[in-house]
Amino acid sequence: MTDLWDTFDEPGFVERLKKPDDEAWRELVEAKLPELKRAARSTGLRDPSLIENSVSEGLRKAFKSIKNYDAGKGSLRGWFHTIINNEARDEARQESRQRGGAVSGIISDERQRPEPASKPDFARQVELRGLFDLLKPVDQQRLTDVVEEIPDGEAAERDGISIATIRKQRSRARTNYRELLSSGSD
Amino acid sequence: MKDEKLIKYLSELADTANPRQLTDEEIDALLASEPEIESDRDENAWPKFVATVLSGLHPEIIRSKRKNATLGDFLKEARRLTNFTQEDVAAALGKDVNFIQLIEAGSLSLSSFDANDTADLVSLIRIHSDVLEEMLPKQLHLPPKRSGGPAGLSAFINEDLMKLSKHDAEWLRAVRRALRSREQGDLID
Repeated sequence: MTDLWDTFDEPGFVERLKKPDDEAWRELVEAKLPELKRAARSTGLRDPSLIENSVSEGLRKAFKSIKNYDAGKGSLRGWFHTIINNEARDEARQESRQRGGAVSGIISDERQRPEPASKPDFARQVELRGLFDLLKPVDQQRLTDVVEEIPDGEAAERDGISIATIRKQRSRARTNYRELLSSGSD
Repeated sequence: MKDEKLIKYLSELADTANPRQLTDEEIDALLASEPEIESDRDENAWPKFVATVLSGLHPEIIRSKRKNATLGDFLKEARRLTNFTQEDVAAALGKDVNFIQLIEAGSLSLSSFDANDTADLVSLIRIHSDVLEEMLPKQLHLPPKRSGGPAGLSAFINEDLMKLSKHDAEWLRAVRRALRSREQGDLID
């Protein structure tokens, strides 16, 4: 594939992103936003505001973690797309839950481990719950809202904040929980 | 039952935590399944990106400050961490760069800035309005003369004599109203 990603993949450009150099980020964001939104849609996500939120949160995570990008493990394009794809998949599951439907077949592929057929064993349940209890109250609230299927608008009204903020906080709560999981398994 | 559903969701988060990196072929296949649409393009992509990064810079709302720290100090620190320019931040806020320069210079009193502009800025860098209040100067306000006796003296001692000026107090109320209207209740409550 010969396009701007090849230019972005050059070590000099990656170093500028890692600096972080605002001009390099601007170049990448402006050139690749349409492609990343399209990729987010490909997960089955349909609500335009959720697509926008997934891509912007994904890019924020990329900005925060670009220092960890290792060119030896794959292309910059693959790295960005993986982050956006994960974000969009999480939101697509959420969208599906709020619609009351099953998760679309489009978003379940072999990249994801299959959902466990039975509930986790007792030790695992204790571990998952224990890590949840370590989250900040706002993160716990966002994840609880998902489980209790509270619509974003209702949560926003209850907490006196915007729907966009609810969505950002939900995304960050998922990230924080997964970070606890990975630090717990080190 | 509720706990069971929570554990199921947490288990789902754990199971989807670390997918392997997508290959170019997989990305091409995903993109091929979805046509490009006009609304994918966004002239404001960069300002929106800057706003998202700045608003996510601190995991929690800023609820305290070191003595003498100004709003400009918080903004400069946010820019230092991200390398965004004053122009980037101005674009993210939809304001003139002059506003950012004046805030960072810290030479003007905070309440001389437009309350709506200030609300937009504290929303962006997630500063609680109580911290903003601490940045405003307080003046000594002696209460009206009271009758003597222990009860009157106790009330005098316990009363907070350092208060905002009438102008600053009104300005702060205007900022808080603006935050409320922007659905930023977590920066007020």
